[in-house]
Amino acid sequence: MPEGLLIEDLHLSVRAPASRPVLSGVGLSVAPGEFVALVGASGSGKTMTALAVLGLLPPQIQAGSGSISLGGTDLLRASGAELNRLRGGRIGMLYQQPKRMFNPRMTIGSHLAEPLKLHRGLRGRQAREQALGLLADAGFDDPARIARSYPHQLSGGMAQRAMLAVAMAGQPELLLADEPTSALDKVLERQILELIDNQRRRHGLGVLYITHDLATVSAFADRVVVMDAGCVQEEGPARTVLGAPRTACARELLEACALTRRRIAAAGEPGPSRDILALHGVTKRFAKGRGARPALDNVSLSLREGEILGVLGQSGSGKSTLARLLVDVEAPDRGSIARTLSKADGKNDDGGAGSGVPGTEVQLVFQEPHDAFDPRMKLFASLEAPLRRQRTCTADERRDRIHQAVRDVELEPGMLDRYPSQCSGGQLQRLTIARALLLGPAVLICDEATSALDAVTQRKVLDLLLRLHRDRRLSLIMISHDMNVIRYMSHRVAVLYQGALVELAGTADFFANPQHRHSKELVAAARAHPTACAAPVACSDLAACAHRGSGRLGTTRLLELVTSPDS
Amino acid sequence: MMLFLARRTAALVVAVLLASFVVFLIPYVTPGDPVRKIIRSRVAGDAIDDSAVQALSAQLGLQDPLWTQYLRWLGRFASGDMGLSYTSRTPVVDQVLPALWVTLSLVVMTLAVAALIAVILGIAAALNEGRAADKAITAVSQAFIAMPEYWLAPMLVLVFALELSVLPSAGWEGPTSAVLPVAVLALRPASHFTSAVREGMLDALGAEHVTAARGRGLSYFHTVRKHVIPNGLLPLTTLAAVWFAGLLGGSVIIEVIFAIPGMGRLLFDGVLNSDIPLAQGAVVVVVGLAVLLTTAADLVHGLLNPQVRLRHA
Amino acid sequence: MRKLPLHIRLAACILAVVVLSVALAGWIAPYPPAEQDLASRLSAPTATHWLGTDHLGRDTLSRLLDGGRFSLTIAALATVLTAVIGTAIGVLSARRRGWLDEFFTRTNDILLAMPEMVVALFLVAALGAGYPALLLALTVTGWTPFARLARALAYDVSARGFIEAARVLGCSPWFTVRRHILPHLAGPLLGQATLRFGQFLISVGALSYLGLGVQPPQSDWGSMLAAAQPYAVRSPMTILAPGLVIFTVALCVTLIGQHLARMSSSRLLLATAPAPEATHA
Repeated sequence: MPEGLLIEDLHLSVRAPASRPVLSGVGLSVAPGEFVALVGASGSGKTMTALAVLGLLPPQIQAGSGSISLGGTDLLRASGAELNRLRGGRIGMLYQQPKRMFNPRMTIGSHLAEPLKLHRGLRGRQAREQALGLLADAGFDDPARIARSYPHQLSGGMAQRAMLAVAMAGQPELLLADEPTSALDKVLERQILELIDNQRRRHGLGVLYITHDLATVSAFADRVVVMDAGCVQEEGPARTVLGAPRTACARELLEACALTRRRIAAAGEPGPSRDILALHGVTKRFAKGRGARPALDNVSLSLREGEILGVLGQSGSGKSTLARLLVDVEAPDRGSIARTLSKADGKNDDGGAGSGVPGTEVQLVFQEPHDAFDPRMKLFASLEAPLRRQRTCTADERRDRIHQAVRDVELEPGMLDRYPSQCSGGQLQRLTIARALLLGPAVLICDEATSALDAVTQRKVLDLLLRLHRDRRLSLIMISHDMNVIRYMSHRVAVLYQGALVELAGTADFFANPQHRHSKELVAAARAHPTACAAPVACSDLAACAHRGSGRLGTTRLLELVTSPDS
Repeated sequence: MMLFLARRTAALVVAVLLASFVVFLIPYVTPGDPVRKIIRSRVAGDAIDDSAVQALSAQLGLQDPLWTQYLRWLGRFASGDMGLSYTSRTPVVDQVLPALWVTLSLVVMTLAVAALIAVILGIAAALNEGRAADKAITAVSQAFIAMPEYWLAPMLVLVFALELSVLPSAGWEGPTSAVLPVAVLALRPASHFTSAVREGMLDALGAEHVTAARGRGLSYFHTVRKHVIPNGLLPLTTLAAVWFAGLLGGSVIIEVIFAIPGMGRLLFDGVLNSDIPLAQGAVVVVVGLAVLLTTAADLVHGLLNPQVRLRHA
Repeated sequence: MRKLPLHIRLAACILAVVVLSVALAGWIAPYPPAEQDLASRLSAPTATHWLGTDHLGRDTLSRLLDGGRFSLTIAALATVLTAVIGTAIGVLSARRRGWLDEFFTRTNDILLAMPEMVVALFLVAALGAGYPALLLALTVTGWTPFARLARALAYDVSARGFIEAARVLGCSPWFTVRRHILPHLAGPLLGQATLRFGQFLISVGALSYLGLGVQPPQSDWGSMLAAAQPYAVRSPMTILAPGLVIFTVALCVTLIGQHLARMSSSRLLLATAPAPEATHA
């Protein structure tokens, strides 16, 4: 009897009339105690594979030929009752959005009680004790409080750990994890992966870890299976696949992870110059009431003319609030913001920075390009709207200026006839930049401006920003959670943590020698993932990193990933 | 939760006070001499000459500022003195209290019937989404939303009371007399409730945590019973709160058609006969009742929903 | 343009026929609405009186056409009035937030607890029966659904990036509301307005039925029903016809309204979802 999960030649297709294949001949196996990473871009069929294992395919998908077996049980032909015993009993599952996977009206404890009763026949006190034990195993310090909590009271990371406890409640032999960390930041991601790895070692659990991000699993996976377009493209030991990918598809995935990290020399260093934006002790509070933490707490920060300032912060650090304050959408509760934006030399008619319309000298580029344009307006109308305020401008002038701005961001004016939904994210992000530049701002704030873009597009947009910075003497504030973006772009780095400015240093200094506890954590988490450890200092940790992964990833390859320029 | 409730309740208390103030103003804004109208509601005697009016006006404080008069009026109202009805010349409160019970039982019965129908049909429709049963239930409930009660009621009376003689055509004696009014009054809320339950159930069925529950090994029926139905029925509690008020209004026409001695009938008679004290009493009591029931339903909704319960803790 | 489902097209046709014939009542009605013919009172439908006659021998069809003017106009007026007021209040609360929003939300809560019919009765008691009291009664309680919908939608739209972009780009608040917010609200509000029209039509009928709406000698569908009540057994047509007209019109309007609401909500979803990525940036 074969042990573990074995998928052989699995075919899935969308039911007629649309009938088209979803999976064609997928085969993979997960031995007990083995950590297998199933990697692929979105739409490659990874999630369908997992759902097929659980027997929970959506009704419009049907299984064709092939077989799925777990420890000898044929999952495709199992009866409903058998499948119910399997799910949660022999197979545990983790999901991408853990908070949505809990019933909002039940406590975590009652969620745990279900599999304990169904699969292990535990009730009452015994079940409660088991539940607390499971929560403790999932890394909670106070399991009793968590058991009493409702899902909405947990953060994303906590919810995923609670979900792990639920998944482990039935003492499964296989854990299916469907992108369990892609909604979490790097620190939490690492924590979850370590917990899963722990469970694997303690219980001899087979893990099928589905992800689009090779970097995530490189330190943990025994084997990697790369999927694309419903087929397995490449499969092998993690070291082989990551070190020497054979197929184009695997190479692409690897490259997408290894982000831009070489600085363009042309960006240069800003000379000694005056501050054009200065915050003095700025505090902003949204939630009223006792104990509510201010979104920004006594932040003093300045932007020099012609500088690129990186603002690094995780979600909830107050970085978006900072952006909103700077563009004057919000007013600070305390403190002041000084803007000395107009050019000292007065004249500037070359369309460069500082020739802008009063009140709009600081412009903003948003994270979500598809959201930045009114979906009901053609792009031209969207770009023209802010110009209409200037009565001096005729319709022809407006058109010429818009066309010029669009060419400046390396797009064709012809596309302005389209609606936002007909454009790619990269195109739209360029148009947001063009729209901001139409007003001739002195400062451009990019709030996670490239986070929603894929790696290649991200790089192109960053380079565009660097060119504009150089050509137009535009000052930039890059707000991001992404170490690579910050490192690639900025002259100086400011770190926001829980609303406070905890560190401000030159980029090289910062990555070499972070001072604050949180900065150290960030840099360390980035190091744990080879593709993210762009800082030179990371190299010294590489050996440890490779060791942690039990030699699953060759040190050579790691060094290569870190040091090679990728363009 | 407590804060949330306190704010809601404060708003509703203000509502009752506002409504009562407006009601208090009726004798002053309607044509005729307010002093005479008020005296008529306070003093049993029929023919009163001018000198008596002067005396009573002073005695009852009708020359005082409006707001003192209002506070005094409110105090009397709260202690159960609502004045004398113009038509029957008996205290209004003696007519209001029995009527209140009639209307309350009519509305509660209606709501219960509507909710029962809606739960059964709504769940059936949602579990058979897209099939014939769902389409039929949806079509019928849509049709009844557009059904005027004042048309359906006489038609049903025509059939069941006059042609078949199985049910009484009017009055409020014995359980059979409640059948037709409750049936007619329940139709529209039942249609609205049914679509709400159906939508709620579909949302609950499509929720991702239902997939997760199946992934934990719960059977389909267990999942539906434990994770889908309770969540899917939650919108019904909010809707029921809204409909309390709607039904108190809707009951006016039903009480008139079926000659039921309830609040609606009382209010209607008061307005029709320009019986100011009666109308005043009926309006304040109906509005107070509506506010009370709405708040109660809010409370139930809050208790059932941990997100509301804990967020406002 | 997608093809409309059959029942929606049918509903639209019926509605168009009713509205047109009511509008052209003066030309197409077979008899003057008040013309009495006591010789043929309470007659069943015949070739001369298609829908029979009432207790005074007046032609039911002619009276339906005439009475429809009142019912439909009042319902339409109330719909437009409440839609405009409600949308304005809803958008204002969503944009201004703060105490203004709190104030309107509480007002909404309060009005939700006010039975429409009781408010109407009260207003009739205070103002006397007729046009103004009727319209005021429907408006006072009727704007709330529009305000709630407009507020919820405007809140959602306001959270979108392009609204903040407009602000950062220096667009005036009024420009933003006109160009970016109202167009997104139009579809769902139109659906809501259509649905409310049906409900207003029923309410107008109810108030007239109780004698609080239109005053004799004028008549509308509700008051025709009330007048026919005592003769229902002798001549069922007198009571069947006006009720059936109210029901049919309300039903058609409801079907169309629900279709509009569904369409606009799915379009709203489409507008939110990004299209598949194009090949290059």
